[in-house]
Amino acid sequence: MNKLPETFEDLARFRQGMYKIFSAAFLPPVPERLGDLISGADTLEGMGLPYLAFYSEWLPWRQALNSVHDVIDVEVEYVRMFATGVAGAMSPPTESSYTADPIRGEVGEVLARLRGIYNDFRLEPTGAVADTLDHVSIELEVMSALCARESEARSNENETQTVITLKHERSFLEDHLMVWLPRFVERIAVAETVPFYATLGPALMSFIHHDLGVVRFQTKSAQVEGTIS
Amino acid sequence: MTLVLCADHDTPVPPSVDGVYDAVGIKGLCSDPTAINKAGVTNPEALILHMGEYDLGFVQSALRKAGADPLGVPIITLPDMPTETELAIAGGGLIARRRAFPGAGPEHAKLVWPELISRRKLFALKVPQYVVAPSIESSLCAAAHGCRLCIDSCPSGALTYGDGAISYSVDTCVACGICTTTCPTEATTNPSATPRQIVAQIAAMVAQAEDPIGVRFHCRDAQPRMFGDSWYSVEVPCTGMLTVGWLLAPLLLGVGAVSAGPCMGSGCALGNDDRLKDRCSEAAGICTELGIGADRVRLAQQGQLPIPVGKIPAEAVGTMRDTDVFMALTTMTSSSAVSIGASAGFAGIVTLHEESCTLCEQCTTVCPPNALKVNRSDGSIEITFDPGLCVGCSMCIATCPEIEKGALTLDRRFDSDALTVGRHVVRTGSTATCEKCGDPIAPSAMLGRIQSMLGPEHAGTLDLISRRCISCR
Repeated sequence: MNKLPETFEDLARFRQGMYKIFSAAFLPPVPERLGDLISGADTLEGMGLPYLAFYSEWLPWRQALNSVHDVIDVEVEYVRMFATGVAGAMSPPTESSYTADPIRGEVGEVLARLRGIYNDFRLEPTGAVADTLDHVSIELEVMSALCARESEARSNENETQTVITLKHERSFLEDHLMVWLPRFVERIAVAETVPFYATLGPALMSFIHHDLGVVRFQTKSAQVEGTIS
Repeated sequence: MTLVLCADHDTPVPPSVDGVYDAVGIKGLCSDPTAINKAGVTNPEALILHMGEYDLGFVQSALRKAGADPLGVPIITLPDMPTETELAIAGGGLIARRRAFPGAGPEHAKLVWPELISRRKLFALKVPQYVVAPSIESSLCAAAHGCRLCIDSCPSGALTYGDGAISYSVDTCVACGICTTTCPTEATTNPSATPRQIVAQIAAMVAQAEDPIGVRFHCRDAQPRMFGDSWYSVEVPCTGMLTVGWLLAPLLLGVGAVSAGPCMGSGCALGNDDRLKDRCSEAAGICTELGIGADRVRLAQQGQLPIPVGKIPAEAVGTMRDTDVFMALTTMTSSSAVSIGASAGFAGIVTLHEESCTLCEQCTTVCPPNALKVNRSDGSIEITFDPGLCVGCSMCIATCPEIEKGALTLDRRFDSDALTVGRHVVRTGSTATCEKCGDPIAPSAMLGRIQSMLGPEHAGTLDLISRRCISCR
């Protein structure tokens, strides 16, 4: 167990899993999903997670996940904290809630911009929150899909596709997730919620910080090798 | 509450200290850091390992699993066989340093992989290691007032200015820590090497030692991180970050002498050798002036250890600011007034000259540590200066509109007399008030300067602006 990713291809696959699990963690906490989260977390920990700096922030969430006895408690908190459309949600899980002024009609601009980006990435949101293009789960799922694409490109030794995907990953992290997630996580922190969500915010933020470092490192390598300008 | 040692090579395990920490020796720890986890040690506070026998990435991973933050756990590596007493002194210092660790956030973990791993060849990835990157507290930063000291001092170009704030590139940063000791407002910090941690480590080592000890500052990348012959290591990110205050502060804590060498013994990879030499030379010069011997601060650790000058409590050493340490040493050595040039240290004495200073206040608005301040009262204005806060950054000179006329001079020196005086008035003058509403118009000196620029043909204009404020003209 605890095998470190041996190549950047493995690392991309690992990162894909990390984004996937965080994405799922911000969806409604039905019992089946919590079971999936536990098995997913086991898998990721076996893929070398303890070797990475954000493990320290991951552990408390992992413990909170294992300690969920009554799913109802978490479901109630989910609605209080994140349910969109409910007036006074403690921590709206959408980008536009933090970056757009609804009175000036900026929400639509954010969503339109994201729609354009997803089209550029050739991604079509589906599933539980597909209509909410700026939902945290969708944005994390986008990163997961990009990591899967990077892993495939590396597997095929497709240099051009690898570099394009890295650029997409970096820009999406820098221009979107890193812009609003800190404030979203801050809102979770002050909401005095159940351990499952109270520990999820720091774990996600720590991972995102780390992942941006990983992506920047790889794009820097590509710049020096002359494949990115 | 545990000091963990690799017990290979018959390394002795120092005795635990009741109520302070337990010392635990683990066989094979360097080759298999998970031995910490297997031994059931939780939250280890400090490690003593053997040089060249461990992989830092694996060690950091094991620390994480044991519930510790690897960025806050200090490590010493042993080049040869130390005695139990030496281990106890060094270990006590490490534990104290760990307990003064303020905590680090995700932004402080800088990922370090071997440079430029080729994507084409898909080399096997090594276990990543992490070093501590600094962070900037924007509410304390004086960049908006023109301060650029961190940018000017950064050897890697990781800091830039834009949109009223300092931008920091963690990719470019080499985590040398120079920006943290250059910052006059303590906005930039490195949580693994704060003044409080360094002071705590040194004070704890002195407290444990029966005989005088020397302190050797060494770089994070230096190998070996050794101690021996009564000299004990204190790790800093890069010795280029050491200021005069940092070099002299150990003497206040009861250390006999201080040394600081460039990493690898062959010169600083960042080109900070000259910077370190200047600082050491400056600190040694101060020791000479104080009559305690220039060999108190050296680049190498050879030679006899002198008897300590004295000892004050760690709390009294504060943040190791140059001027604070200089003053404390002056008091400790009962020296008469000493004044010494500060070519490398952060100190200065500002003088405003009555004949050309117009009291425009520009210098007070840009002074990063607020050494220069303005006080206004009915009909008068005064500028005060606290030499204890001045870092000699020259921003006052850069902004003074009358600098060519010699309105302001900055004398870069430590001066115990001036420091003793504390904040004092360096320029005072009257302010013209509006004859109609009574509001202040401008300092009389400034109106005088305008008069000299306008000449007699504009006497009417000057008369108006001297009598009425903008609103009442």
